[in-house]
Amino acid sequence: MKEIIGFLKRTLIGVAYVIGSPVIAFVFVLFFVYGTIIFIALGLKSIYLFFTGRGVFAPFEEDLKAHTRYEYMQKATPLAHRQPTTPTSGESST
Amino acid sequence: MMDVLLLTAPISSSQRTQMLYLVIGFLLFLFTIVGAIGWLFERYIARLSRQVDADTWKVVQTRIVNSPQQFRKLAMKKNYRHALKDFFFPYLLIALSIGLFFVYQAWLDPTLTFADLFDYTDRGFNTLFPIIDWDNIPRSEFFGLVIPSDFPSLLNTPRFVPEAMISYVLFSLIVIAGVFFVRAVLGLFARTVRIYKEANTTFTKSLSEVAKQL
Repeated sequence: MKEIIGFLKRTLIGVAYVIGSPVIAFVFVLFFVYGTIIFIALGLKSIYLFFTGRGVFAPFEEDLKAHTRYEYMQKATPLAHRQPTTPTSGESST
Repeated sequence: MMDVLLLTAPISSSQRTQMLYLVIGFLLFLFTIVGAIGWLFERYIARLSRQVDADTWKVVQTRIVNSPQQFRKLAMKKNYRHALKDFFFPYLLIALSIGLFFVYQAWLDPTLTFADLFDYTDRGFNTLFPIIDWDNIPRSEFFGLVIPSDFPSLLNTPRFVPEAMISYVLFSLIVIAGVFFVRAVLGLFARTVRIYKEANTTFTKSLSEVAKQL
């Protein structure tokens, strides 16, 4: 019974996808254009930063502050109560 | 049953019911396949969105950012950096394809035009695909409606043409770029949605959570 309900649910979602496909395609194109604008703008900025001796992927000020504070917090916390350094399975932070 | 499907025999009431079941079954199957593909995309988008967590957990935990605005601003800056990285490779492939086309045209074959790349008769990548003659599909009048009455003819049967090698290479590069574009767009979408969602929930006190602590 559970499998049948799951199957019907998936089928109904399939119907919703077919009906909503023009909206999905529109959102996709919108984000493609958005991404392209970001790519061009940030690409130009990275060229400018490269020639001024800086990098577009340099760590943010907030990240540096957070890292310092985190190190301090880790030292202040007893070993048994320390939190894991990577809570998610995502890629490394930038 | 085959006669019924090909509309060459008169159909009885039971055969009509059978056909109806067949069509409903086929539609259910089709919608389930679409739903399953959608589920795969949902899972992939959820996986891509976890990048936001990896990028921002430390600034949230150490309270360097304390408001949704600060969080959104920093997370979006990081999102843009990921977008730059993600869009770089497909755009590089597109630029490489265009460059390769012009180099090939200038050095090896000056008669090659852009339209030749899509050709199916001579040296385009469409020589690899079956080309169906949809324009000249046989039609018949059926109760006042002019509808297709037979399968369309094939204009091209898939075949390998050595002269079309440049088209195959360029087509492959564009397809690879397309796959990476899809990944980049889905990643940008997934991260943007998660940033706006998390900005609204992370810094908001839940009344039920407060009540639990009483």
